[in-house]
Amino acid sequence: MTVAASPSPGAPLVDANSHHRGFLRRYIFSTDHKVIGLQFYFSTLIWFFVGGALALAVRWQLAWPWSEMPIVGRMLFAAEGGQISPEFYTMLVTMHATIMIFFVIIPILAGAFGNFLIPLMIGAEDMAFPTLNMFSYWFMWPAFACMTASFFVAGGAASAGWTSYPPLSVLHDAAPGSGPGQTLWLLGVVFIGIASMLGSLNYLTTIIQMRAPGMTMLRLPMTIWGLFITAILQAFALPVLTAASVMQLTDRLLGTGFYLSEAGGQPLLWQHLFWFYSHPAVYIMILPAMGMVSDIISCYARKPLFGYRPMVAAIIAIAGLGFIVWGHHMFMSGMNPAMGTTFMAATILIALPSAVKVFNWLGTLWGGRIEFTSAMLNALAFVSMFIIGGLSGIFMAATTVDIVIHDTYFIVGHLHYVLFGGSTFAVFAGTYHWFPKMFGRQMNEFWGKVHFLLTFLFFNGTFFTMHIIGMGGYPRRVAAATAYAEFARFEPLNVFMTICALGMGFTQLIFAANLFGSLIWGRRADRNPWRANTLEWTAPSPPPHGNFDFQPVAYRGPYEYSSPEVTADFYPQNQPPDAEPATAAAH
Amino acid sequence: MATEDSSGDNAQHVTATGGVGNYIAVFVGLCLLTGMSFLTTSEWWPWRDQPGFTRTFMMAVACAKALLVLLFFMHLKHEAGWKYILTLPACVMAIILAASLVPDVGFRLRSAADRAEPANNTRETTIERGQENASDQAPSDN
Amino acid sequence: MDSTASAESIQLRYQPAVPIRNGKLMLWLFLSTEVMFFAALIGTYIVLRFGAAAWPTPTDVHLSEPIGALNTFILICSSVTIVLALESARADSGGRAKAYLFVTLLLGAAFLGIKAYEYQVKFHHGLHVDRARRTIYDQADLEYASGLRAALRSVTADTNADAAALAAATALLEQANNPDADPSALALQAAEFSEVPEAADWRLPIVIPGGHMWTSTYFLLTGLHALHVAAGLLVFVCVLPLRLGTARAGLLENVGLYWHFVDIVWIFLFPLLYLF
Repeated sequence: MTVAASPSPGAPLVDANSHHRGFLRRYIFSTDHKVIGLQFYFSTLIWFFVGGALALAVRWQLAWPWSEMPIVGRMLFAAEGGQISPEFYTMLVTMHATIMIFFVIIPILAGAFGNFLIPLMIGAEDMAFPTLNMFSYWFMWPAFACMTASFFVAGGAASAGWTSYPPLSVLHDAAPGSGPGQTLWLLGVVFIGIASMLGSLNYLTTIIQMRAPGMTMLRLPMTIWGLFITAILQAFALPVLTAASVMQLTDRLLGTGFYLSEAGGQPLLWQHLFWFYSHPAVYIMILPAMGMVSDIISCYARKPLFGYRPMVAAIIAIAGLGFIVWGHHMFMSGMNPAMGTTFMAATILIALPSAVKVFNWLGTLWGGRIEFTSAMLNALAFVSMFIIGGLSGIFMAATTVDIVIHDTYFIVGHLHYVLFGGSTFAVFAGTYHWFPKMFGRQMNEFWGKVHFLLTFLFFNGTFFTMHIIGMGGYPRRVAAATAYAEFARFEPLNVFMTICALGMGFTQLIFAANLFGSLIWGRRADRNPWRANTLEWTAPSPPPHGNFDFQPVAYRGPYEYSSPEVTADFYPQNQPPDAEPATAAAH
Repeated sequence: MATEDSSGDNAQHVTATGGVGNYIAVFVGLCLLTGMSFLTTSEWWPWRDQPGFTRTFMMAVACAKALLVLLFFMHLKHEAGWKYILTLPACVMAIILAASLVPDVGFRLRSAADRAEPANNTRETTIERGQENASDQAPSDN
Repeated sequence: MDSTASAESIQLRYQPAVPIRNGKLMLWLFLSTEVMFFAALIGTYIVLRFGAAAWPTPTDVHLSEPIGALNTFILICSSVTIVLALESARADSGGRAKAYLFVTLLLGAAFLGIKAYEYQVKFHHGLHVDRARRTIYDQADLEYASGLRAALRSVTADTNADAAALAAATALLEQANNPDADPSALALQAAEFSEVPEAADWRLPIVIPGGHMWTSTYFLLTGLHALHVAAGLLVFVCVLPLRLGTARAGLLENVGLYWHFVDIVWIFLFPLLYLF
């Protein structure tokens, strides 16, 4: 336990929104970046539980095919005697992925943490365009409404996969979910695109123009670098998905034929345009997480980040390469083989900057005085799970290997190692780390560690096993593959994975209880409970409207831990070179 | 980023421009260029039977027009170094995107058979694929 | 700064990286996203068009190059007027700025009006994207013949039609009813009716190789561009009532940058859609 070491106990807590406004303007239609960040956070948390419930339903069907689901089965599928139907199964898979990617990981990293942290970490009072920022959140709601409504229309929600490949997604009669559900899905994606685009333009302008004096680009915390590059990726890649979705909408609603070969179009066109966005989206989902983890590891190892400039260069390299590798999702699509080879080479090159990052994290940990807080444990889980997910990614980057493992559970295992093992652990780490700044209270460390331990074990139990059955050829997106004789031997492993997944799902209730409980009963936090260097820890907890009660100035980089120049083991960015940290931190 | 300008107030940065005469000159240039590309559809265009050249010419004219608008109407001629950072990446990405669609979508009707005998086999292949009309009413490159 | 400082907080100082207003930076970034948006659309058009087995000529689809050139001219004029509006605002003559902006609004509306006229011509000749009301067939095949029969049957059922034209239609229907009839010959005969004034609104199915893809791409590209024009006009309407002095020059500059971008998109669409 490392909390409350700061020498000044409790600067008076300032209400997060002490400016005089009504409840609606203050908490609902707020233009304050912190409130918008928290709105993103709680909205995505709700969707996290919805998406998780869908995943558990998928796991139930895979472990015990066609058996009646306990409790919810009778309510949902009374017609089929409580069973999941094959059509419903494809819908579950589709909507689980859609919700987790578009409504959870991207908005919680870019929307919640991005909104909350960017102005605080660079020393600004708010975003460059607060009203636009509010709209970027409220454009999420039409998307929420479309996705929610799609569950209740005829035929059910979209079931063409989260990739929405034509012709399955374009022809209305192709599948039950290819009716109105698919149209609503596309509308939702267009709205999400608008929301993310508004947000990313705002982030870029803010980071470029509103850094505190002395906060040069190479003094920015890695979190800001991750969010900055993410915003660039979103700005360049999202319009392409929006254009592609508009074309799919017109194909469905007006009768154009861009993706239908009978009309002179080409289904591969969608795949190219879709992955032109959705591969950079993979980095949109991991780069802010990498940035947050870099900050957290350096803080709890009480050591400077190993190789700050190579870390920045690696993030830029990953983003740059990330734009020219989308074809590795299409090796089996009948794509031109010459392009396949190009995409393979570019994809394998990404291992280089990724390895730079991993070794720099390890270098940061090396010889550090590591404090195993909940945040640090989750950050360490991020690093180790990212290594596994990154290594299995190299397998499928090779075209020849991909032919074997394509569309098997190996892919599912890989992507969950990156998205859950990577991004989601980083979200947990970020929550434990910045919760005191968000709400002025500490989360419970004991339950945080219990949550971490159980999640980590169950996570590996669920997803590592997927690599094994994937190498055995077990196909993804099939409702009951164990019915085939050659896959029957995987049934025990499927049961094991489902038990782990259920355990992991219920473990998240601990997290929710800890989160909401700490809001009420958590110990009060002062400005800098973790003795961290970055600017947000010099503001009150929670920061008032306008964030800072003094002019923040950055005198140095954000990773001066255990510096020989000062007696304390941290050296805040805003501390003038001749002052002691206590005065600067508590102000 | 290009320049680290430490001045806090950036509210009034009015870019110098060339004045009304300059705009009129650019306008006349744009009209002339539009006329030139329109001329390619007329009888007097000497390269009517060379669609490749005509199209290259028209795209060059379009690029010249876009450049005129960018430089003078959007004042990029007078801006500082940031203009490259904000315009070039998008243009490069746009070209990469369009170019990467060519092998799979642009050549979607070309099969291995076409490449083996490029001269006379195209039509049969399209008939086999049931894609398009076999009649000669509208050659594909007209 | 554009941000709103609350009463309690002090005015913070910043270190901007580029020497321009936040709004202008944001607008240029937004234009980058728009470049990518139109890159996807125009790229799609180029690959679908040049990869197609057949593509209609402008005459096939009633595309008028002079009208396209006229619209180009109108947009160029509007670009000049809005940049003059900006110059006037910078010189603090709000009345003149307002007049120029109003002219720009009129020119933009004229562009949309001409576009609407062009659409109307296309619809009149049966060029829809809608497959339910489909009249374009990519080839003269049996499917075309059955579509033609259905259309002729409804035409001949209409007793108010001109007698001579009706007789010709009935004759063609009899031919089409023959299962051995050559669909290509039927198509040629049906095409002759488009020259007959009395048959102007019959909407007989037509054979245009590549016609469906042409309508798809043409309406998508021009439609989304027209939406951008319309959005620009909406912004003009919102800006017009303001006092357009030096204080609003920045706003006018942003609006102008967006409008010039819309112009540039059309500069590329005009040769690609009308002249290629």
